Amino acid sequence: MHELSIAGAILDLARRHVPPGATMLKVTVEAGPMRAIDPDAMRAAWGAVLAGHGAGDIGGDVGINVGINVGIDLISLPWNLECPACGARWTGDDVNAPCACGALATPIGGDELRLVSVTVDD
Amino acid sequence: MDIPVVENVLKVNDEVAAMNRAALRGAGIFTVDLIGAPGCGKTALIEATIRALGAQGVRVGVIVGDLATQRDAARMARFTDQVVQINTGKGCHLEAHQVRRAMDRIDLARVDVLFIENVGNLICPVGFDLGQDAKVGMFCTSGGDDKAGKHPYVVVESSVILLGKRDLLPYVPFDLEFFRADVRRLNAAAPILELSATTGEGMAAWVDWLAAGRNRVAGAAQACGAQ
Repeated sequence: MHELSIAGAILDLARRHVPPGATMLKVTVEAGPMRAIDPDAMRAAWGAVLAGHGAGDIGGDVGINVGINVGIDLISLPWNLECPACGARWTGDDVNAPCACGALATPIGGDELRLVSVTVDD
Repeated sequence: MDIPVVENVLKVNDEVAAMNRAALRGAGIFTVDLIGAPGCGKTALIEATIRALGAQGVRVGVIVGDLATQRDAARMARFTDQVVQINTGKGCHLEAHQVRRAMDRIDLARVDVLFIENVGNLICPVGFDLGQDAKVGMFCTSGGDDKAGKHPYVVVESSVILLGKRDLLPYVPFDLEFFRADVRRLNAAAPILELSATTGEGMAAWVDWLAAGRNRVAGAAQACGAQ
């Protein structure tokens, strides 16, 4: 549900990196699993903020041209997990999947939320 | 052409949060962002905490976020006059700019501990820094013992984990050891405080934790001459 607010923040941040005269084509975002960002909700939220239906006033208007056809490439990072019992480390999609030794894992990191790059026309 | 950015998406929120934090710490205030599902007992806990801290001469302020209504603020206004209600409309979580505006309506000189009662939600609020000293995640015995594992972010981010409504344990199917182990494997450092705002059980440890936090912040503020 917080995807709408995050989409607004992505747009405001991305705008600041677009050179004058250039047009934004796409944003690339990395999100760790802790953030619980649903890709479908993110795409819908992105469409909403591009159409001007933002959630709030994070950042404010920077006055750069943004069309409504800017793509979003959401890279969903996997869990980095470590077993507190036997020390095993692995990556996966389920933070509650037990270790081979039977213990529940501890997540490492996983709260990344980064605007990796902004793609503009040349 | 790809322009590399590699920046935290919530950078602007975090900058406002940092300003909030500086203002609150400068005023010697210990600030808690209380996060929990609707109905877990956040407001009742704050009400009981205001009374318990008040008995020690510690003054409490509250900023409370809800989609709508002034109900929570009205409840807590019975116990402290430093209460601000934020109505988010559709927002499922509080953000730093909302807290910033609410702080303008609080007399910081008359507050020692500030609670920010977040919108009832175990997911969305966690990732938004508000300027607090500590995030506190609250679960309750009537909410199911599996909720920590289902909401790892709030557990990992919390300085202390609360289990409320402990007095209901005889009446609900809640495996206490399972809950404790689930919390510990996510966050080995955070103490788990099991309490009841209704009966007072476990409240002393919670009050002590808050008072210790307050003493740290007040001491630091005096040391740097901010007060």
